[in-house]
Amino acid sequence: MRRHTRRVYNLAYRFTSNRQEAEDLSQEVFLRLYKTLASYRAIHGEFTTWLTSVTRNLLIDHYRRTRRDRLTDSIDQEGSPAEHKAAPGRRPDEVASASELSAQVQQALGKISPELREAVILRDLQGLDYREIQQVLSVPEGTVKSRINRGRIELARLLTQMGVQPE
Amino acid sequence: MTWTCINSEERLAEYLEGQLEAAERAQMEAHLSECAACRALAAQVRWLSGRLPHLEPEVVPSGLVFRILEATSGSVRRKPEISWKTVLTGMLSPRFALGLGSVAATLFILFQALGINPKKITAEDFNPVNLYRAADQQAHLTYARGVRFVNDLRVVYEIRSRLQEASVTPTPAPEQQPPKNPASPQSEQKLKNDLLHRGPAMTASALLAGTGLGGAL
Repeated sequence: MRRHTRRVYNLAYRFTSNRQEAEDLSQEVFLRLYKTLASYRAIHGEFTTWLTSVTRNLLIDHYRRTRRDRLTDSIDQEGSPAEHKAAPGRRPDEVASASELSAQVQQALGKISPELREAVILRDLQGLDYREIQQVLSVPEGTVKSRINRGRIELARLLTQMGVQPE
Repeated sequence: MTWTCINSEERLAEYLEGQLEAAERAQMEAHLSECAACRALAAQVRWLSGRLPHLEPEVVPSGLVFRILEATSGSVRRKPEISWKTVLTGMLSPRFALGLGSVAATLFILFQALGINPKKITAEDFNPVNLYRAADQQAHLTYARGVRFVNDLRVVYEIRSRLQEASVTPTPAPEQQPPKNPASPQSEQKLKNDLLHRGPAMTASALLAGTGLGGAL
């Protein structure tokens, strides 16, 4: 139970970048899971994949639901200084800690499109293989690979802009 | 075919995962050696791909697991919806009728045992002293009735067995019969019929007097 909760919460947090929303969504995921558990069959794949699918669907629903709010917020914040300005010349070995890198990755994840974001999260942060991601996202394998590739590239560019560069 | 920056971006993941064919790999590497931007991007993506899986997972807020369990395992106390329809439906169910019958039977037995008349129930009936007295009296009465019934049965079956023995055994010579036995075969048959028809209500003494078996018992 704790393992599944950690997985769901991390997926939700990486996608929403908001701890409170991630917590609420995690509860919602398990409630939905509880109600639909009877419909789970082995043909849906492994339980973890099914759990990830349910989480992902809820995240997408949540994303669509809150799109208008986010647009309003982004207009309000226009013109204000960015929280993390680029710090030219800053190298990864200068990164104070892993948690700082985690926060920077999180910030960059929030800036890429949800399709690319979810693909990168599922592959690189949740450790799913291509076949599992294909099942979760219900898209062809080629699309999965393409999204992961583009997602990583966008993420890398954003991190470079933030001053995070490889050694 | 000329390998461009767009080609490099499109095939970057495959290149980094070693999935490109030899010819494409050679073209990719040739492009990277010439294009500093693509080279930097490839280095950044390679580094990022290596770091992302090892990022510390977010710590799950304390209490989240408990709240989820509480919300899903049914320990959340929900106010039951009670309506007349559900009450009536429940009362019409066989389970309810069976339960009601059991309660009625239990009450009947209790009232009988305690000597309470259900039509005239008073508060005095439930006085512990009266309850104990009534229960004690009923217990003694029941025991006495049981003892009397068993005794009656024992006597009746004993007499019947004696009568059966008498009917099977050949009648002894008149001089060998005890002088005090006045029973003739007709009177014996009459008594037998009488016994069978009257049952245990007939007292043992009357039967024994009639059959002349008093000495035997």
